[in-house]
Amino acid sequence: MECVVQGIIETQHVDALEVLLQGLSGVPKERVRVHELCLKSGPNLGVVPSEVRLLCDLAQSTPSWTIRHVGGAMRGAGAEQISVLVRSIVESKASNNVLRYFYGIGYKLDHEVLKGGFAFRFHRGAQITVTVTSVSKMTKLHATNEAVPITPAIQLVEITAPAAADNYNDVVSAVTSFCEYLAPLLHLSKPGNSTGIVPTAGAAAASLMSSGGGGGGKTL
Amino acid sequence: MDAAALGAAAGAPNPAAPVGGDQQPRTERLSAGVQQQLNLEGMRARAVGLYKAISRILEDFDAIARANPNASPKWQDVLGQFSMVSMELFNIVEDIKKVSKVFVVYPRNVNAENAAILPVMLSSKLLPEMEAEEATKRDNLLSGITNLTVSGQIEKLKTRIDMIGSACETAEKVIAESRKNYGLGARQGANLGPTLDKAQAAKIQEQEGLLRAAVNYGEGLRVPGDQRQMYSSLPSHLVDVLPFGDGAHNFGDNSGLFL
Repeated sequence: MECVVQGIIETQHVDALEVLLQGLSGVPKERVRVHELCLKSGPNLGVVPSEVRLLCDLAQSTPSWTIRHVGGAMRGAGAEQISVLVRSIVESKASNNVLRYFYGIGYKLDHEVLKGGFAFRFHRGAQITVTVTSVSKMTKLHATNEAVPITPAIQLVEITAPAAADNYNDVVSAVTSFCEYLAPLLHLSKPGNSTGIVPTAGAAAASLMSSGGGGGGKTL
Repeated sequence: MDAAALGAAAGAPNPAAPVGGDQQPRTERLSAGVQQQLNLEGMRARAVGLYKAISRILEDFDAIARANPNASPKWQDVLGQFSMVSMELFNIVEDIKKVSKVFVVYPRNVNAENAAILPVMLSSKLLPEMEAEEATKRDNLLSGITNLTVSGQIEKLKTRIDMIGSACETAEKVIAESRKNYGLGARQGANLGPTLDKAQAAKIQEQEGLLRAAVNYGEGLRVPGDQRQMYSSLPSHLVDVLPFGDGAHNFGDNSGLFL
């Protein structure tokens, strides 16, 4: 299981968000560049359709592959009341022939996307990962070098944290609490809901950049 | 006796006069509300009053000396006046401490004459007071653990620091939950304030929908079938995985199988 929230931020304020996340997490940022291929099952694999995502991490010198299966979201009155989406997830590392394998057993490419940006991973009540990426689509099949952003002026922010059946309440609390700290710059919600942008994000960003920029020069 | 009393009286005006002088330029620049709240006029009046009282006492001493060089002031009278002056000065100093917390005082004329005495005049506490305060705090900090070894004391202090840290974390959580309960910084729904015009808000909302639909459901990302085999060159991470022959064959094979 994992807890996940998403939000958007204007590209012009991404630097301020990085300053804020650096301060809150206390860890260095990681570069993110992921080629994500979404495959769907064919008729020969059974009546129930299934979807699997293959993630190729291009930020490393040697690309590494991950299989990711996103299951159903938790349902019920309790799930409706919390502001974080809790869903089942199965993830596994794989070798580079994973794509050929899935093509071989009958999966077909549905769509692909390229994400580039940065991420922070830290522990704060739970193991939290905050990812800020520009999402691009390929003009030609698999041509990652020719990808163009879907929304050049807006970037995607995702916060995820792994959870288990016995501790997801604590993880939900940790993620919700952390989202409060980002409220000056962006709002976060379940993937299916939209949030818009924060009207006062410009002022908050200016404040962060001035204090962040001045921090290097100031000594007490 | 006379010299000692005279010296004490002579020293008294020094703290009062500079205080009055320092306050005067500031008073004119403060808003009426702040002045009234801090009671600056009252403080100034009391300082000036004390200055005048001390001046009268000194004049009385001079008058006595001029009338009869051999005469001396009556001891009882001197003690009474000293008590009055000392008590009023103490009260003014105590009240000044409250007022001076919100002010920064800096000298505007520093020269060879007053450079040596300025640090003493500007210090907010007397040195013995600072030393006593520091000793008190150290005693409070180490109370109950002075009998331990140094490493034991260090462990105890670390424990206290950790407890304080966890208390702060608990406070942070409570504040976050309260903000959520009272709807501060609400995250659900579009929070478009008056600073965004409607056209801009609508455009951003459309862009957000586009982005979320693409990331979560792949909308707008599917390539038409006839363009599936039109890639010119594969990126490096796919070259080994999808050789041209196998790739083309794979797609063709799949198409044939399902058509």
